[in-house]
Amino acid sequence: MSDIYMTRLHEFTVVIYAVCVLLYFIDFQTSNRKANRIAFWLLAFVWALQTIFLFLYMLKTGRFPVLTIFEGLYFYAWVLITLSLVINRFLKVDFIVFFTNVIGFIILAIHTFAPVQYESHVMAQKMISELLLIHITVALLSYGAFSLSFVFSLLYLIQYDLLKRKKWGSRLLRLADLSKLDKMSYVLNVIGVPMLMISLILGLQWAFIKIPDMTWYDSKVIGSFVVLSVYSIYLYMKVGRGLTGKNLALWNVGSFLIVLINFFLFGKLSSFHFWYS
Amino acid sequence: MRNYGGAYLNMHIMVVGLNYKTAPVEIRERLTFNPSQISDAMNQLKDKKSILENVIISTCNRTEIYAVVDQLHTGRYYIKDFLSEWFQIEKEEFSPYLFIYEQEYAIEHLFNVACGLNSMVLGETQILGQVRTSFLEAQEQQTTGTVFNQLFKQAVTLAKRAHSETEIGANAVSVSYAAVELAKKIFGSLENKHVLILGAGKMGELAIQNLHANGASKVTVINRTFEKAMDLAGRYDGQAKTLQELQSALTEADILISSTGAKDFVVTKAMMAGVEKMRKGKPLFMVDIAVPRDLDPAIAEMDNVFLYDIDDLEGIVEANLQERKKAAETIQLMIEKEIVEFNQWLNLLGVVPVISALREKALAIQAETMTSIERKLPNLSEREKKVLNKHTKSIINQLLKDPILQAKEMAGRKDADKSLELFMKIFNIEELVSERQHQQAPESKVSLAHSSQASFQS
Repeated sequence: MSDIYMTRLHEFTVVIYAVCVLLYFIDFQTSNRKANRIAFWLLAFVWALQTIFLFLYMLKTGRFPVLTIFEGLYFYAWVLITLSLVINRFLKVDFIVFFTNVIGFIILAIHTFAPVQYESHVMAQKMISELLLIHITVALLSYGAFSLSFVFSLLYLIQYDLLKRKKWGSRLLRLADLSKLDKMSYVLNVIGVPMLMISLILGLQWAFIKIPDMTWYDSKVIGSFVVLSVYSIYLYMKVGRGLTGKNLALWNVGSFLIVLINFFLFGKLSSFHFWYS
Repeated sequence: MRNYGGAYLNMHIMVVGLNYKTAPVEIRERLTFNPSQISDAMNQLKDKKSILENVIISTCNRTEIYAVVDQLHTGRYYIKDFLSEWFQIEKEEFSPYLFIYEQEYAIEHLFNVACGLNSMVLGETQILGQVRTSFLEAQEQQTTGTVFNQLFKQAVTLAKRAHSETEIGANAVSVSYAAVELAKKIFGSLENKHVLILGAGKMGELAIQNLHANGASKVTVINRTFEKAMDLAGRYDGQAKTLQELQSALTEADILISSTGAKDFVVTKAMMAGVEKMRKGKPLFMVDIAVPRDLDPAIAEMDNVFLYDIDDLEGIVEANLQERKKAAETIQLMIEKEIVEFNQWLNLLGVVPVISALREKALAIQAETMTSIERKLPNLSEREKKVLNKHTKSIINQLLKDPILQAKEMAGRKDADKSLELFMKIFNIEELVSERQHQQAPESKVSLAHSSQASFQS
C-alpha cells in the first residue's frame, strides 16, 4: 500500500520537475523573472522530496543506493540538482540551472521508466563491498562534475555565437562572460578527472578481488578509460599548452557525449557490470 | 467652479523649479544652490508665509523646490519671492523659465525625477541619490513634516524598486560604454587586460580613458608618427610601438581599438592569420571606430575574434535606448499606482477635513467682520474695502499657520485621534468637520486628471 503511495509521490515529483524545467525554459526564451523565481522554488521543493526519498530508500535497503542503474540514475539526478542549486546560490550564472536540469530531468525520466530491481538482485547482494560502493559513488559524482562542465561549455558556445553574430539583447546580457564560463568548465573538469581516476582504480581493485576471470577488453572498462583520457587531454591542452577559446569548449562538449555513451551504452555490452542486467 | 479637490483645500503640494528642459544653462547656473548652503536655504524658505514644508533639490541640471503650502497662489508667490531674494535676481528675469506643477502633477513630477525619467540620460540613477540626500537634509533641518516625510520616502522606495524591477539603468547608452560593456562580456573584468590602440588621435585617447577607468592597465599605442604614440602612451603608463611591430603587438593584445585616418585596411585578414596560432585561442575584441574602416571585415570570420565597427556599436546604443524607453513605460504605470496610493494615504489623514473646517470657520468670521465693518462705516471706498479685506484675511492666515502646521503634525503621530479631537474641541469645529467628512466621500471618486486641472485654475 505504502509502495503505491511512494510511486505516486515519485510521479508527482517528476511532474513538478517537468513544470520547473518548463518555467526555466520560458525564462530562457522571454527573460521572465517571475517564471525564474517560481521555477527556483519548485526546484528546491523537488530537491527536498528527492532527498527524503533517497533517505527512505537507504533506510529500507540499508545501504547506499547506487548498486543498480535504477538507483544510480536517481542518485545521478540528485547530484545534478544539488550541484545546480549550489552553483546558483554561489555563482549567479544565469541559465546554468536551466541547462543542468534539462540533463537532470532526462536522467530522472529515464529512471522513471527503468525497471525497479531493489529486492531480488542476487548478484548485487553477493558482490556488495565498500570498494564497489565507493567506486560507483565517486564515478557518479565525477559524472555530475562533467555534466556541469558540459553545461558551462555549452553556455560558452551560445555566448560566443551571440557575440560573434552581434546579437545584442537580454540573453547576451544575462549570460555570463566568456572568461568566467571558460574558467568554470575548467574548474569542474579539474574536480571531475581525479574523481574518475580514483573511481577507476577502486573499480579495478574490486574486480581483481571479486571477479577472477575479468576481461580487460570489456567495453565499459575501455569506455571509462577513453573518458578519462579525453578529459586528461582537455586538461593538458588547457594547462600545458595554454589553449582557451572555442575549440576547447567544443572538445569539452564532445567529451561529455562520450561520457553519456559510456554511461548508457557500454554498460549494456559489459560482461560484469551487473547494473544493467 | 466646482471644488474638486475639497480634500486639499488647505494643503497643497507644489513644485516650482527649472531644469535643463525649461531653462538654458545661463539661467540654470545663476539659480543653483551651493550644496553647503542648502540647509540654510530650506530653513529660510520655511520661515516664509504660507510654506508648511519644503525640500530643495539642486543639481547641475535642475533646481527644484518642493513645498506643501496652505494656499496655492500665495505659495507660488512666496517661493518665487524666496528665489529672487536668495539669488539676488529680479523675479521677471527667471520667471519665464520656471515650471510650476501642483497637486498630482507635482507628485508625478517628483516620482519621475526620482526614477530618472526626467533626466537627460533616461533612467540614470545618480538623481535618486541626490533626491535622497536633499530629503534627508530637509528632514534633519525639520523643514519637512508628515506629508513630505511620507511622499519622499515613497518616491525613494519607488525609484529603487523601478531600478531593480526593470532594466532601465542596466545598459550603456553611449558608444564608448557599449564597447566597455562588450569587452566585459568577453573578458569578465578588464583588470590586467592588454589594450592595443591603433591611431593616437582624439578617438584613440577617448578609448584609452574609458578602458583605463575600467581597469585595463596594460596599454600599447601604435601610430604612424612614433612621437605621437610616445606622447599618448606616456600619459597612460603605456608602451609605444612602431607600425612595423603591429603584428607582434596583435599576438599579445586582448582588445584592439583602431581609429587611424588610413584609407586602406591597416589590419588585414592575412596579417591576423599569421598571429592566430600564437594567440592559442585567446579571445580578441577588435573595435573599429575609424571611417573609412581600418580592420578588414573578413577578420570577423576567424575563430575567437570579435570584430565590431562603429555602426555595430551605435546599433547597440540604439537597442539599449529602446529598452530604456520600454522600461520607462513600465515605470510610468508604477508611478500612476503610487500616486493613487499616496492620495489614499493623504485622505486617510484625518487632518484634512479638520484643517478645511478650521479655515472655513475663520473665513466665515472674517466675512462676517467685513459685513459688519461695511455696515458701520458705509462711506468706505472700494479701494479701502479691498485693503481692509486683504488685511483681515492676512490676520487670519498668519494666526492659523501654526495651528494648521501643528494639526498636520499631530495627524502623523500615534495618538492622532485624541490630539485631533482636542484640537477640534479647542476651535469648536467638530460639526463642520463631520460635515466635511461626509462631503469627501463622493469627491474621492473624481479622477486624478480632473482634480489636478482644478488646482491649476485656482
